[in-house]
Amino acid sequence: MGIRFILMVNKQGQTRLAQYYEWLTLEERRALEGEIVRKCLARNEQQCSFVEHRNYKIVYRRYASLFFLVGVDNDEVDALMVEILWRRERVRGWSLGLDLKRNLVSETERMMSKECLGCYPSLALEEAVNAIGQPTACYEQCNLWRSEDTLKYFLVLDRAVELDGFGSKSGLCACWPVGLNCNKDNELAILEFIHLLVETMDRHFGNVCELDIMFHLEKAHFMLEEMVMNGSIVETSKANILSPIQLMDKAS
Amino acid sequence: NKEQERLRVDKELGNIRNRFKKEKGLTPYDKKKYVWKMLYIYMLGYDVDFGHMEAVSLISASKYPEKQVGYIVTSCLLNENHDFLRLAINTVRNDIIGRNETFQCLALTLVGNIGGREFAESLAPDVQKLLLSSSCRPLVRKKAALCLLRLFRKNPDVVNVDGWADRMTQLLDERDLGVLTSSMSLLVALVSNNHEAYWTCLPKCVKILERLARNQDVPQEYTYYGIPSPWLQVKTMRALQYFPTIEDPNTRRTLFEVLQWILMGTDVVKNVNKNNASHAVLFEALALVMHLDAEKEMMSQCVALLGKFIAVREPNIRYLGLENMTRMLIVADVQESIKRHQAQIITSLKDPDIRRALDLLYGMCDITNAKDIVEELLQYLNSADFTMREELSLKAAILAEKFAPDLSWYVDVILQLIEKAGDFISDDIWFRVVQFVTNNDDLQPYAAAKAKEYLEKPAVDEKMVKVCAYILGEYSHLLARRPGCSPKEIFSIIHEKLPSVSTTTIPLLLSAYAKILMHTQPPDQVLQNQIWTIFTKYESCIDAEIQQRAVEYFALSRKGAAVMDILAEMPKFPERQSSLIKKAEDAEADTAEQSALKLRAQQQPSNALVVTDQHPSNGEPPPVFVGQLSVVKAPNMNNTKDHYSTEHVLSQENGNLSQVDQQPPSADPLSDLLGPLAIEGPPGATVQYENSAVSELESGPDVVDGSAIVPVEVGTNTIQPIGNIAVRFHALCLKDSGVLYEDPYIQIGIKAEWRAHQGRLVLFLGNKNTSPLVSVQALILPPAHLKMELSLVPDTIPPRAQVQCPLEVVNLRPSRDVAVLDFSYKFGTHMVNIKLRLPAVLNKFLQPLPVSAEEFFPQWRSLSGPPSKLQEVVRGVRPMALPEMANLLHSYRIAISPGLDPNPNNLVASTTFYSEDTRAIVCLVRIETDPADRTQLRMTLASGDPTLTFELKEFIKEQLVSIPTVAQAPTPPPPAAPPTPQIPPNDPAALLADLL
Repeated sequence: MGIRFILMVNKQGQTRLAQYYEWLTLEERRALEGEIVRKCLARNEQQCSFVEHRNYKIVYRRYASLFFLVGVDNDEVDALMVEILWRRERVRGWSLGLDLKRNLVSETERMMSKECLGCYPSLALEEAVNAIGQPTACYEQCNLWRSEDTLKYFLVLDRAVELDGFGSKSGLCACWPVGLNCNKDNELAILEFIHLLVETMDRHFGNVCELDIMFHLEKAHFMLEEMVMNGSIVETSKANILSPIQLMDKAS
Repeated sequence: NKEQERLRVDKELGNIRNRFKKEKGLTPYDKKKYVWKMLYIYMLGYDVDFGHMEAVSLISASKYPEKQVGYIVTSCLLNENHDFLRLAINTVRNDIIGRNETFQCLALTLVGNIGGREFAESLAPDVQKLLLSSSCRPLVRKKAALCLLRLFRKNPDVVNVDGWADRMTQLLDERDLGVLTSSMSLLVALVSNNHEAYWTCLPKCVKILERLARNQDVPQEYTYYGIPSPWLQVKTMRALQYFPTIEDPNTRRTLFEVLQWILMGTDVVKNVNKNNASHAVLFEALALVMHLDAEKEMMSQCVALLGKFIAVREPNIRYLGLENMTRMLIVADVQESIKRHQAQIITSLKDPDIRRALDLLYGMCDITNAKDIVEELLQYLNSADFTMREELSLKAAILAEKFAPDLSWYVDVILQLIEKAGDFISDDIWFRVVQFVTNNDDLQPYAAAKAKEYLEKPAVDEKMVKVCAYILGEYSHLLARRPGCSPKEIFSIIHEKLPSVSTTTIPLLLSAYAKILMHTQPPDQVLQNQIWTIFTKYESCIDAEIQQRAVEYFALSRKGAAVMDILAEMPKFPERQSSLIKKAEDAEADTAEQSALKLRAQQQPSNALVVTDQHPSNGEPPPVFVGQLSVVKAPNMNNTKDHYSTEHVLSQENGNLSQVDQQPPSADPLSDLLGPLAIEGPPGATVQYENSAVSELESGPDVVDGSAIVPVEVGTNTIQPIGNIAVRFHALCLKDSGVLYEDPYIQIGIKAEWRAHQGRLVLFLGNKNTSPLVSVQALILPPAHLKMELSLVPDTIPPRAQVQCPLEVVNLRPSRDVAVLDFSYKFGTHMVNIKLRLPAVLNKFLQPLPVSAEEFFPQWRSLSGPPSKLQEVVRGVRPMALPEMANLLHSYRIAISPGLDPNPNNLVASTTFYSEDTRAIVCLVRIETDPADRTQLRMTLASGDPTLTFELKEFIKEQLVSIPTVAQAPTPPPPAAPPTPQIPPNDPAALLADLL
């Protein structure tokens, strides 16, 4: 789906702007912000700008005392490992190996909270399969499903391979969302999108600083609203982004 | 600080609340101000529910500034399921279809961010119209595109996109890059849903890419550091990756030219932003090339590029280089060229972001480079971040096992691994090495020597102590001739560690001592005394496992020759998949939260792999174990049957230690006792693992006592039955007439008729002798679910006569319990009393019911989930071919419906069950088998009655799990019971049997 959230946080860890493109409760937001800010702030210059955190990949960039953090989907590596295992070793879905299994367990936790998908016997698989469309690729014992809704992929390991009249939905089945290549976001593009946002703010405020964003929260929101919609990029031309704001400034 | 912030926020919230309450005096400016303040407070993490209404109400304001605030704040505060949104739906619609462009934009954005089903239902056509309208300005249309995207994603059933292919093609001709960017997102969603319908868009995408990347034909505003909208380029290439292939040769050629252009034309430049943007495009191009399965040449070019990237200093590029190289592994031809970069990749292990390199190494490892890679990983283990060590060691262990060039290398690797990262590795890793060593005779002396070497070091990790003590206990006698390896020396090396280990390791050490002692031939008096002192010391240990072992080993080691059998070397493990992998499976079969707990519970008191799994330590309550029997496939070689018997033993009074000594030490009764218990064990299982053997020995008498609760009992009589009672019972479960019991004096036959929930049995009591049987008594002990009435049984059966006793049975409800016939008679001075199970079992009340697909599936679906529908993975199934299983089910009156299940390895069956309470209930069964492993299957049972579902499931399971004749009768046949070989041909009872 693209961008899940955009955060601006200062060095003390105070949130200056938060825009989510998926619904999280207040508690979830607070926890998430705390965790990722701690994680990102602890990193040094030699480390890359991408951090994996739960089901997000955080792309972050630091400008003076302000951190810009953008959360995008992060799933592709699991799928990748599956692909590799399959093509090279023809492992059956049943015995994927422990490392995948471990991913699976951590994935499960997050699925419980988010996607409401089940892993393990008859947990929430009804829902899982309801959310899932047709299998896009079938391996021996492992189905790759794609959800119509979120356009995510799900890997379903099941003894009963086919979605037949019996509905593989019941039973021993592990299911976790993965992103194939297509579903992952281009990290560098996001990284530069942050810079575009900063440049746009810079153009408007002139040498933008933390206080500008704090005291003109509405303007920052207007800009974001012009640039991103529901997690997809709408506009990348600075002039177009700023024109409604300028119009308003003139009016008032 | 936080507290001050909270106070300030509370005050401010109170203020806002008051202002909103007064309402009237609020100027539009104030209202806006307070709503923004609210959003700010919300962002800080405080609840502002009270203000939702205010935000929503601003949407219907007539002035733009207020309306705008209303829209933006609403979409930040509410989600699609919020009730207040309904209030706004009309205003939103009016704004969308209205003439005011700015209002349209606001409304579209709101719907695009939080629009739910109701919005989709009422607005989708309008939004579609806007997107295509030629009179609309781009700024409206780009929002309409993403708005439609949201509605389509959320409710694909409501939004009609039939025939949209043409319109999308049209949209892609758009010149305005804003509209194009949004449309591309929409296209990605549509194509990913159904790429076939949109193939006409493919050449358009290529054209756009060409226009951007090659011709750089874009307005200045849309170039970013000289690069034509990198985001649109990326998105376009993303869309192209949803098409499986490109068939049209012209399009394909154009695309490859553009890609080639991107691959070759991207240079590393000084400006960070430009560099990032161009590499964003480049990485996407690489992904597309990979997706398109380009020619080998182009692929190698990509690998070369990536090789360049993983060597640069810029951490982002290096990270992505590694990640993309991992992805490249999928492409078969380039693996060799990737290997050329191995050295560089290994260097990257030292990166702060080590994960990528580790994944890549793990993926690229094969037999040719395993040694190098694993050794690098081991070396790196010393300096690795603590959070990485577990993963690192696990990966090293898996690779070492998978690609080991020789076994001694594997042993070396694992021992090194334990030495370096003992705290971070799971028990499975050392369990596995024990298996390897046990199964490879050549390896044993080497492993023992290595173990000794490691154990001699100071400060050894506890896991190392475990594995070394185990190996030395088993195999140190193979080293006896080497210098420094006498039993005494080995013992003292191990014993040195004892003070520093925890209670879970001590039992292992005790086992090792016992084994060393046993291998010391001729016995060494000094060593023996030393070890005995230790055993005596632990005899009063507070830890039950240690205490038990100390007592047992002490007792055993004084038995002399008998010990040799019990403490013999562990038998080979059957070849099977890695326990690491198995562990993954087990947990899968389990429920998420329980699995970890259970596995831990299983492993905790572990000394040796096998023993633990079938023998929970004494302190552990048996129910825990019972619960998991059916679900978890414990990683040992025994099947459920053994579990059953062991558990059965354990659920009796366990660990009555004094019995060890009471038990006569001769070998005979021992093997008799063990024999039936280990009936399905692997060959050589009679003298199983020291621990279980001992426990079975010690609880041996219990087994005999235990049989008292099993209905088959031969009481005090000296008369032996002819034939196996259990076998006869099981035969009768399948057919309706036959002999239930026979001894030299009497034969009891049965003939039964079953109709729905009622049954009529006739007992034929035949006196085989020339003198009468007297004091004949028959008593029925019916289980709760059966109503049984036995007609009068005569007190005396005349010589060579047969008496018929009808028995009426009514089935009240489903249950697997079995009725028992308590039968006694007197012959001469012999008083005989027997208790016999009666074959009025569950399956007798079944009526096979073949069904068609039309009947089956609606029923199957309507019974969803427990308790009406139950599923279980059954392991340790008696291997049988599918037709055989079908026959078995058929004989239990469950009708197979062939062809219902598309998978030929599955069986679908159905039957009707009758009881007075439930009347007729249809039961549906599905059994899925695994052709690769006949010992396990998955069974799903469904019926309208939860009890029935459960009972029937258990019933079928019992029939499948083991050979029924044994499963039902864990009682050992009495020691001296040679079945009477034959019946004289003129015996009337035999004739009777024939008649029946």
